[in-house]
Amino acid sequence: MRVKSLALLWMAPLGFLALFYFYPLGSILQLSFARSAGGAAGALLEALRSVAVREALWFTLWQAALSTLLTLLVGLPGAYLLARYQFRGKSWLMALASVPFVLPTPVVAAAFHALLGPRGWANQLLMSLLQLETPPIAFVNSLAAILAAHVFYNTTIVLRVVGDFWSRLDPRLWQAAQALGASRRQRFLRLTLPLLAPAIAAASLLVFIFDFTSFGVILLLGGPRFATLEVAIYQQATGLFNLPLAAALSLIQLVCTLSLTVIYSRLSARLSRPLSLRPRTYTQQRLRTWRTRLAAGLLAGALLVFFTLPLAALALRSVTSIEARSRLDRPAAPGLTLDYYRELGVNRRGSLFYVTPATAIAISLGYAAATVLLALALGLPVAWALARGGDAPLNRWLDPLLLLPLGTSAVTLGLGFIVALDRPPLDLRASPLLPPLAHTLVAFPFVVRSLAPALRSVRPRLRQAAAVLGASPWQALRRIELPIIGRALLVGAAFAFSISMGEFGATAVIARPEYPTIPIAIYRLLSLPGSLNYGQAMALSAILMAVTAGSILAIDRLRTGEGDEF
Amino acid sequence: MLQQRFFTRPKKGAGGGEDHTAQMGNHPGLQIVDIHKSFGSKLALAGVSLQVLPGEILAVLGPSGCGKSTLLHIIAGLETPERGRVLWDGVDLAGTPAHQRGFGLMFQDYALFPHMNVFQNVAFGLQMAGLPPAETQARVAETLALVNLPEMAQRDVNTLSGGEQQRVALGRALAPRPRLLMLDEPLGALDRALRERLLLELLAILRRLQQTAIYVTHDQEEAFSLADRVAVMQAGRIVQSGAPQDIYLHPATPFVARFLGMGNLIEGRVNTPGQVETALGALPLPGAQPGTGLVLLRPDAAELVAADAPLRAGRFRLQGELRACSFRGRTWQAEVVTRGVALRFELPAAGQVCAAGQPVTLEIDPVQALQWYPGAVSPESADLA
Repeated sequence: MRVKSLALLWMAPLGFLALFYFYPLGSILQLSFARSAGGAAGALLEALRSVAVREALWFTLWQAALSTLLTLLVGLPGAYLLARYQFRGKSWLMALASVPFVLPTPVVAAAFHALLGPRGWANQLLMSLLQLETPPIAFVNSLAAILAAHVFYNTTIVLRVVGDFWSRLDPRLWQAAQALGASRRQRFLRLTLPLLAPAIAAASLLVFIFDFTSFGVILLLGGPRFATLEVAIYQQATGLFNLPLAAALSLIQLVCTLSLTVIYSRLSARLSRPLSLRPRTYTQQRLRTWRTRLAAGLLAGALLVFFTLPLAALALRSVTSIEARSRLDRPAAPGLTLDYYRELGVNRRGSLFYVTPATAIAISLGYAAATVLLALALGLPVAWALARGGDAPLNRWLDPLLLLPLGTSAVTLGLGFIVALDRPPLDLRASPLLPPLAHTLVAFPFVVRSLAPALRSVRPRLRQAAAVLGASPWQALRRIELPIIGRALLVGAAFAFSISMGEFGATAVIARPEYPTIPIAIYRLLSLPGSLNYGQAMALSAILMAVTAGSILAIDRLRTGEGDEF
Repeated sequence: MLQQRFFTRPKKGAGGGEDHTAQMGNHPGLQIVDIHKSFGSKLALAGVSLQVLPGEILAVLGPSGCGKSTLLHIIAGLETPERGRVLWDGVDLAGTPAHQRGFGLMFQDYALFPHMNVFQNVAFGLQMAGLPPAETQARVAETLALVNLPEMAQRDVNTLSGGEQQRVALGRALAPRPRLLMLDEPLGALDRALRERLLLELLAILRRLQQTAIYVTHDQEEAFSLADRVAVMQAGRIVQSGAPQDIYLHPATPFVARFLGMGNLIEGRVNTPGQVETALGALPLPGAQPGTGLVLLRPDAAELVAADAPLRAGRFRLQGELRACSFRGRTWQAEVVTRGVALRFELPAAGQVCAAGQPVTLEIDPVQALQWYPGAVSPESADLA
């Protein structure tokens, strides 16, 4: 492919990035620098001098470190089990473990509310058993809730990254070490740990990045006492309207996340270096003795319960009313009910400004549709350029740019929109188009990554093979090329759709109050009193859970084996 | 390793080009005449002619880049030649597009359809032919059994091993029962052990179906063990074609000799008829006429003898030093330096001990061992490029 046509393909997507990523980011920088006389460093130092900022930064760091440590503690035994043993139901365990990862934070927050919150199953059960007036477990709005949610989210990263690497390490290395006289402990210290170190480091760093930029979990489960940088930016920008301070905080956040991301990509590049990796069938054994069976069964069972219990609690809670005892609420018959779902479309307050959850669903669907269209329209030319241009210098330079929005925290993206797009030439502040634009920034790399391999696999070779087998040019197009590209388009669309449906951080900053999305509506409902609001939050979360899990399932089914580039 | 098969075919001498003189007429099977093709300034095929009789397996043997694949693509109708004709049973196929030729082509990288499972891949050609579903089902099952992939119909092709993918590709090409099957380095992507096993299976399948086939490869062992006839290609031309044993025994050019692993090519000059002067000394060469050229000294036609043993009639001897020696089972692979010239020989291993550094005497029968290429220049011109 010629450089000229490559450049042409890159033009629109780059224009989009320039307008909606670099320009907003530049505006944040400008705003935070404008505040201080000392330039870049001055702005940072000034921000760091404030106690609130230092506290936020410190909390962000230690909660992320603690969460990462806990995630490793839960994930590493699981990674060992998945890496070294072959057993029935293993693929199910893997699939279930990855479900939380794709769920929007409000859904996970609602799930923990449903399990351990004041109106959750555990508390309600204990209250009715022990005849208590108040919920005995104070889980929500505690550090424990934050940590639990983080572990719930990110354990799959450890399972995947470390487990996958572990599963392909040659077991003969351990046999060789044993033959050389190494004890079990020595083998672990001298062989297992050093060999796994890069994988563990990469997984930890990735988990740390996610925990560092955690927003929804902190806001919805941590309550007002806890604020990470991300939450602090949000509060400064939307609650206190202190945009300059928000910008300075964003700057700190940007520096941290971008450098963490750079270190991560270095680390994960080291992982792909071949290290006498073996096919999995060779490295895995069955569970033979009853002792390994018991241990594996207990571990797998514990993981299974951990991954499914909150989600099951959410699904069940959304169709159960169990609060007939409460005096404040409208009395409802205990037992199964679809009331919460029915109420989604009712404006019980009769307020002109109240937006029903059903409207939020409609808005979310509209935004998601716009995101799908935009992300596909921008992603297709880039995927084409990557597939056809191969290793051309232009591709090599521009491809990493696409990933930048992923390395930027969601709230920062949102803040950038507010700071930059509120004045001519681009005054989109009042425009309901803002959220889909932000969602597209996040969805865009995923769309490109699902389209490019498919486009690459539509080689002229396949056309020729079809022709030799008797397919006319039209039949070859219909049976070979269109289905391959069509599937990839569906995969890309499903990614864009589920990302848009679940996006919370950026949307929370930029969504106009009269246009809430489902995650925003869940957030609002969860922070309102009353069992009906609570039930509606459950119902709305259950719907969003079904939608996101459904699209991820569809992506998994539709993706043709080789195209896995994530 | 060399499998000898005796098929009904006209005995042809060494040297290519006999197909040039073939008359156009009602020849059964495939006939291609004087095909030319170039890509930009690069000439891919420069006048290729050949013929494949029904039921015959022709191997096209040559180094990579010699135009083998292009030839297959032209026969399949995927590329158009600049000159020349492709005929089947005497009918020119120039106006027939690839999908109406009824030929099968198995690609080197298999080109399996990634969005279809094994069944759908194999069924594709049958569906294109408009076979009713029930019959398609039966034929796919039959084909999968033939290529030894039973129970694999519903597997995703992306999860198959290299050997399994190869079988699916073969099954897909065979299922529509093509009148001509072309295989483009079908075993090239596989490791050695698997290759040898699949080669035998492939041969059995082609024989059982009496499949007319063209088999393209750069591996002489594959070509020799599979084909009724071998055509050796070099830089867009067929330089020799004939039965495997004829080609092996009488490589038509220094290039063919070198490509078949016979590297002992020495420059020589014939001054008196019947004798050639070389760096090794004067060698008897019955029938050679004055001029310069290259002498091929076959590596498998030398014998190790004691220095004081009497010389047998008609033979000559070379004295030299054993530089290196490696054991190959029935033979020693030996490098012998004679008068500054390094030669390679395969010496019978029976009853011999081979040790590097010792002086040796080799006795050679010139009729079996020597081949004279008059006019050929330095051995480097026989490069395998």
